[in-house]
Amino acid sequence: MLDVGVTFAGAREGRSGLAWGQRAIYDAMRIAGPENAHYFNIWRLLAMPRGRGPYSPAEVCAAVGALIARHDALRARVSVDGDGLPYQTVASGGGLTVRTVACAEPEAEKAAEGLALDLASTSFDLASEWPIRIGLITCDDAVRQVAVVLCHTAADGYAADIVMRDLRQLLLRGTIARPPSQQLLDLVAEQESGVGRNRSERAIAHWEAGYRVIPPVMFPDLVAEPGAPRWSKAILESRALEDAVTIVARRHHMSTATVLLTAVTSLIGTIIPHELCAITPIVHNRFRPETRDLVTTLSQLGLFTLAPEPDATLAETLEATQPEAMRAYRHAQYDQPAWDAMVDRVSAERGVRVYPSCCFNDLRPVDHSGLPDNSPGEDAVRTSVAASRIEWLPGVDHFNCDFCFFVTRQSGILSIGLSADTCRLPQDRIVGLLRSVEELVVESAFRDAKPGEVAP
Amino acid sequence: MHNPTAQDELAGRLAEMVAAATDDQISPADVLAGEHSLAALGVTSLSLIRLVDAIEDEFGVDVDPGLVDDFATLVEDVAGMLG
Repeated sequence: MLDVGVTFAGAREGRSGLAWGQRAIYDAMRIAGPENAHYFNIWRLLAMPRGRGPYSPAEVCAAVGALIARHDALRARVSVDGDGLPYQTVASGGGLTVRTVACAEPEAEKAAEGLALDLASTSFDLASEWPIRIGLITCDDAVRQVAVVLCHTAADGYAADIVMRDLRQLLLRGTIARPPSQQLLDLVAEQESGVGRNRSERAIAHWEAGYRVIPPVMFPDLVAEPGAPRWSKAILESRALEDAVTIVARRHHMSTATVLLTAVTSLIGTIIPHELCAITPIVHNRFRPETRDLVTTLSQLGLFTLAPEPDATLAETLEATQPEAMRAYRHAQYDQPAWDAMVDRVSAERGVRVYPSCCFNDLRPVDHSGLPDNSPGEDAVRTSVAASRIEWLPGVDHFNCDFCFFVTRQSGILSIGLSADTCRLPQDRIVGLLRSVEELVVESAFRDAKPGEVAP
Repeated sequence: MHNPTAQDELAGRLAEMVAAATDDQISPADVLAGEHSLAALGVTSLSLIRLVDAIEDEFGVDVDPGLVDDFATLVEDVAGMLG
């Protein structure tokens, strides 16, 4: 193992408050504490572009230096002022140590993953450390893989993909002609302007109207002994669901995420008898063109509510609730401390802490393209249900959300997952809910299907 | 906004913005023809939020994305908010 260095210089510098999404993650990391905050770290791997190179560690370090110089967020460190409020300082230059591990060619991929996990296994020191860590896997002195670990205050999943895209471009071409569409310091200035404040106030008004009427918590009752681990996490990999959700989404002119959000919320309504179900989708907030190359944490929670109608088909529910889904996506950018104050105020007025503890997270890359045109027929989709499979992933014994539903891709196939408190939703019901989402959407692709018919 | 010319200009500009929000998958002419709802033309939820954001950025008015359905109503709503 060898440590080499990256340097960057000549970039702009500045000091600002945190952007709204940064502040939300900063607060969550502070609550988690330094021993747990590494849970928020984001890592990615980049295999060296084939047909080019070989790349020496020095060449890769030069590309990483250009990458860090390109994005404000990668040169920002977060400190706390005299009033206890966080602020960030963007530096014009600096240096970074890079960890290098040599291995034989066949082991490169596995070694890279191990290196990334190792680099991601400790929390970032926000005040003194750059929010990016780099590891290199070399074979015969040539770099084969680059491991990139990002602090979540600097990047969300979408920003991490931008970072990797830019790094690849810098390795292939040496430079990127076009500057980023927007930078962190510009974003903070926009959010602190009158336009930004108005946007935040409108979003918080949407939340407040919802918080006055939703159940304080979606899964209030402890119904079982804790499983092992208490927060268990299962994932369902399903080609059938991928094909079916595409058919339903196209039919209703909506995204596959909105179909899945509505389906899972409808099914929660069959488990828990609430008049109104509330779920908080994590919204990427990358709708404006200027966010195309913006590296920062823009994602924030939105609020989606749905009044379960036992006799309504999924198709009817999708049509009825689409406006609410649009409002949830639209109102997911707000000043986090102002939102916290609203929650405190409404909770005090209702005499109970309002926190649905029920979230939805679409981890797939932002897709600006249309849905695929070709879909297999009904027989093929129904047959492929037999090939879908459940897998248990490592869980945890402490977590701050009772119900975290997520959408991702695994082995190139759409996958839905659920991490839930087994005292409120035992493991068999976690699996049951995932299977019910699949069944409801697959059935709805070919006939009218109601959540109650497939309830977990 | 009761001036017909001004309303036509607004409609033209909004049609361009709808097209841009869909990455030009649909044309301003299709939008202006007004024969189909925006959803039926292919304006997805993602495009709709982009459109509403763009309208806010350009005109400083807040359109409820949950109420945007057909183009004529959108033009009337924006015109009404612009006074």
